[in-house]
Amino acid sequence: MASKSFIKRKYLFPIAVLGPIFVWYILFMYYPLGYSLWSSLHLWVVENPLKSTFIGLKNYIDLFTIDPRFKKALINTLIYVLTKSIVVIPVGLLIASCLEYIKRGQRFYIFAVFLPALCSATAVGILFTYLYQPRFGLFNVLLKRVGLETQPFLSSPKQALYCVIATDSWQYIGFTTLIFFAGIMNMPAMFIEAARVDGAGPLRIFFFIKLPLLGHTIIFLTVYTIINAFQFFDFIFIMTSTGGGTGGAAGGPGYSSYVLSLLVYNEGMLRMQIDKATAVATIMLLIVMCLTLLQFKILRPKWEY
Amino acid sequence: MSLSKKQMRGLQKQVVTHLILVILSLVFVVPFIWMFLSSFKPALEIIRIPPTFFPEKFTFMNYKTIFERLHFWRYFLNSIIVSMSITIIAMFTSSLAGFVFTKFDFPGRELIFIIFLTGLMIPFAVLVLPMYLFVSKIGLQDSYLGLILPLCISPFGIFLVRQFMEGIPMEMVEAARIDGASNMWIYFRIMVPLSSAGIGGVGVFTFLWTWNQLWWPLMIISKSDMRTLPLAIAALTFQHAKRYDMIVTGASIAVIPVMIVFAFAQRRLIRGVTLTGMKV
Repeated sequence: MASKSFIKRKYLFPIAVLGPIFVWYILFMYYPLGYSLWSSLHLWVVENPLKSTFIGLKNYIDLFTIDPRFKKALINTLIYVLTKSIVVIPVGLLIASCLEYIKRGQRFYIFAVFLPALCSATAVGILFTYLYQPRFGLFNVLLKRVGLETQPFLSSPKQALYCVIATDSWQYIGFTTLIFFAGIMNMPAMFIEAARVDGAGPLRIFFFIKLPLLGHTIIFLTVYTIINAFQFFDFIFIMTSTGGGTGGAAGGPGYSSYVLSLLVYNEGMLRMQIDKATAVATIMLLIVMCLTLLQFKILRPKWEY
Repeated sequence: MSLSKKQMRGLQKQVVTHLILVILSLVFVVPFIWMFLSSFKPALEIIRIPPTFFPEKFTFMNYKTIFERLHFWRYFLNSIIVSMSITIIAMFTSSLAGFVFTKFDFPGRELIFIIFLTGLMIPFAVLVLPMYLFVSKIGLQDSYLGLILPLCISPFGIFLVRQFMEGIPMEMVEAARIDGASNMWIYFRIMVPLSSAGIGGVGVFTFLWTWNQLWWPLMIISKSDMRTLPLAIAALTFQHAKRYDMIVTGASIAVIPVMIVFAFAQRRLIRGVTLTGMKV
């Protein structure tokens, strides 16, 4: 008897702590997750979701065969993810290398570069809609001053997506810079010293010593950036919500700047097509899960010097 | 005193690098300066062509309008209530869970931890619609509870604090237990003080993350009184005739507190980011 109550007492505290957290996980993580998977396989009925009929993979097949917006959103998301990664990683590395080189004032430059990364995407996004404004926005004013042609930016179907990517990258570069800077500062000095003694110039040291030593950081940042950019919603929603002044729902002009997360929102909230929206979301889940597992797999063995 | 040729070359390179960095920094700083300066211009000056750089007629009118007529003080307050509540709950749950995961032995410990960890892998897009249906069904739309509950536990926080608490020696906990200390005493007197850097990091990250959160408030809030700051700013773009004076001022209001926090806690924040590898 005594030992039994002792066991109970021993487990009381873990249960008291983990129990409520577990309930939260069920309610706000696993139930929604299960619901998403379930409704993506059904013809969802707004009035009474329980009466929805099972239709197998039809929602998914429809997305790939019929829905033009899904195709557009998928391609745009890939463009978004690739362009952003290609911009933010080299630029971050460049700034971090410059920071390493100078002896003074690092704090000041880090403050300037990292400040946007702390601000909300909402604030940055809305600030840039003002800067992109075709008539009195900063960018066109500068273009005019230099004697170049002014651009429509967010109100052009061709440019809108890239304007959003540029804004997102602008905000994100502070983060990659900081991670690279930390990586460079943690590099063991002996390799670089040894190379210098052997007569290697700064460029050779950069490409043959520093870059390989930063391999781990580069892979981490690439995968992290891809996962992040893949799911991102705020910028597209804020910056394209009225097509740069032309009116209409987010993703404009037309649906030129649709991305997957926006498709989930627009299908689900504006058109109440929960089944279709959750099918899109499930595709996102699969891709993000693969990327995350890849990240864990790659990052498990840490660099040994 | 003359410098040697080699020293001169080194100095030149330093100056050139500084020059590159100054130009790059300007790319990040000028939009903010443009924004702040514009927020002090009267509405007509903002949309004038060609635009002015420095305000011709310096005025606080925009701030007065946005706080008094557009009720931004209310949205500010909402954001503070929601972010503070989520931050406190997340810090508590993460540290308690970290304590249990590292200093208690019970069957299924690893499995439960992995289940908690999978939360990091699930995109918000998958959860957002069912969560909206569920939360509005239990009548929590347009309420603080509806904003707080679904976001108040941080899988990343649990993971991070566990890492920190693993380093605390088991002997300390056992010694305290032999002396008759209760679990809560051990938690408050040993575990929390010894992992305060980790818990503090969770606090800062959670606060900034919820302060900036847009998607969930957008789903669950339809009454204008209950808007959070990001939602209120987003709402400024929904109108067909955009009021750029309000847009610029709203963006400034959202950025200023972050700037102040950053100016004071720069070192701590930077260490947090580089240590965890998480973007805010």
